[in-house]
Amino acid sequence: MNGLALGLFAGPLLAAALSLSLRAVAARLWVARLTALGMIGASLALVVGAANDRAAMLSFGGWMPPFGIGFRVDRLSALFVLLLSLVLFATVSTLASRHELSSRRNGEKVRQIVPASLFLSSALTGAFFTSDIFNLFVMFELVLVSSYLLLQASGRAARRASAPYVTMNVLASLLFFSGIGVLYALGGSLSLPHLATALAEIDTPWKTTGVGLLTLAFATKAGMVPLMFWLPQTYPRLLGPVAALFAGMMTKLGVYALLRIVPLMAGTPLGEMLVWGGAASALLAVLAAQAQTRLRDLLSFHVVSQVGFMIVGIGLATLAGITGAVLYVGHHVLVKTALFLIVDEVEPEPGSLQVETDGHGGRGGAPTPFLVAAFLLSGLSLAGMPPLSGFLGKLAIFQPLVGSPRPVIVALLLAASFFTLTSVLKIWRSGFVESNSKASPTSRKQGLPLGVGILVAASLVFVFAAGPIYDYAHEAAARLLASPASLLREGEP
Amino acid sequence: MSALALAVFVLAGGGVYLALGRGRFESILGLSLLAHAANLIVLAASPREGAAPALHGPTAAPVERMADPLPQAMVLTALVISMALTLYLLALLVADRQDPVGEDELEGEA
Repeated sequence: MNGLALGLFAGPLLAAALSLSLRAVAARLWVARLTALGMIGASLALVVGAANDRAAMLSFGGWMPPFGIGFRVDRLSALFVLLLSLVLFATVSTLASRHELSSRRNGEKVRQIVPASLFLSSALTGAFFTSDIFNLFVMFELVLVSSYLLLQASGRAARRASAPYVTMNVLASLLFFSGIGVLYALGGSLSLPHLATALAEIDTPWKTTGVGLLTLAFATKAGMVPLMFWLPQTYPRLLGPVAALFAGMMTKLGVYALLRIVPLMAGTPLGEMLVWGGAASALLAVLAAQAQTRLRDLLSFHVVSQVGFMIVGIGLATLAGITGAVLYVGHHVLVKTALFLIVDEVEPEPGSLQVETDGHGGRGGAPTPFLVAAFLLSGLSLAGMPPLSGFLGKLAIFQPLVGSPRPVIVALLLAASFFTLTSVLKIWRSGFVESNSKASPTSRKQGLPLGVGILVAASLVFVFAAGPIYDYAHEAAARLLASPASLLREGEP
Repeated sequence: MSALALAVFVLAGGGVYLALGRGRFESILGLSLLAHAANLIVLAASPREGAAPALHGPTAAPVERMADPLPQAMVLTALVISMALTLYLLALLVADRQDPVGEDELEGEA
């Protein structure tokens, strides 16, 4: 297990270096594909191991926490890394099959994107594995640096639009760092379980300040209203597969970090603030999506809306709420990445597909039947239609809310779900129905792209293995909420 | 200690003022001031004034009188990161000035 965990972190890093040393785009793409396949295998093994309580624990240099830095792979981190591997594989295989390679300028873009996305994967894996909060900060910065590389490689418009993204992320990092300072002064440790143990006995306003700074930083990165304005400005201008990678994994890093600090939030009003902020995100962002004319803009606002659902679950800080958030993350990562890839595939020109405005818009290419089916499955799943993957997540988030004295939150979330459905139908009409009648011949490859196929298939696993997946998420949530002292007793980093 | 608090106050105040300003160059300067404010906050986590350096050897002070070296190590890491990111933001600014993208193009090429 430990070797697998180390390999998942070091593998993509070495592969990034290897791909940098290769000149040909095709060779770089093969390195990335093989790496992603290896990561899928390794993370599946980790998930199975974690489900059987064989968690991987590494402490670097033989220094045990709280003094050394350690990796600690539990159910939650294994799941996130599995999702990351799937998204990476889908992104890379789409990059390889796309028209980007047709022209020299686009080939150059892909040449730069491959090593950057491998580097990003390594940094994300590190962030998911580490049990040390300062190490988490460093991994966050590595993720950001590689995301800046991806922005640069996506072309001039993306570079121009990246200023708000970079600025907001730098600001959020500063808040994160100051929060670490405050918490270290209070708890005297940087190891998350030790910190949680120490903070559980402290009840001063400083605790709220420190944890609040972290919450603010992570909520910014996750894209919670009102801290999300950088997101819809940047994502639509990225190259299609890069946008899919960002929409799938980048905001989820913020969600993951919020999940990790749930034990620190006990006894502060921060959870309640997250519930309201999340519900507001869920509704307001989906309303904003209604006003968008370009499909990519619409999908970007959807990302904010769905992160809102997860944040509500996290803010509840109950076993059921966290279970719901974990399930929702699993569903969202797969489906959202697939949708971004599908829209990119259907668009004749990047960013050209408009939502119909006057009754006969819809200037899409000619989607193949497989793409249409993939879109239907992911779109309806996004709206939470049973028995697709989104339903499981939504059910798990609603269950603890219904019956609790929170009618307003339930109403906000229900309204958000309804508008999600209407805007999915809007995409359907403009991208898939109208265009069929006047199908313009496109030079795109026919059939279902491998990347989309894998993601949709993985999201269908949610339908057929709902029981085991629910149990897994439930147990992951239980471990997260278990008293930190019991984690320390497990004899661990 | 109060001098440290005052320094954080001045740096953070100036940083926010600049970051909210109109120019992009000013806002980058503001971010870098804010980074220094954050560094000082973290330094304040080892609050022993006049403590001995955490050195090993015959001249070392007793452990009780040593300063906690961890916040200093964290600040050192953060300094490097924030300097690199400031440079990156400046490079972005220069690239945009040399190769301006029009609003139309921004809408068209996504």
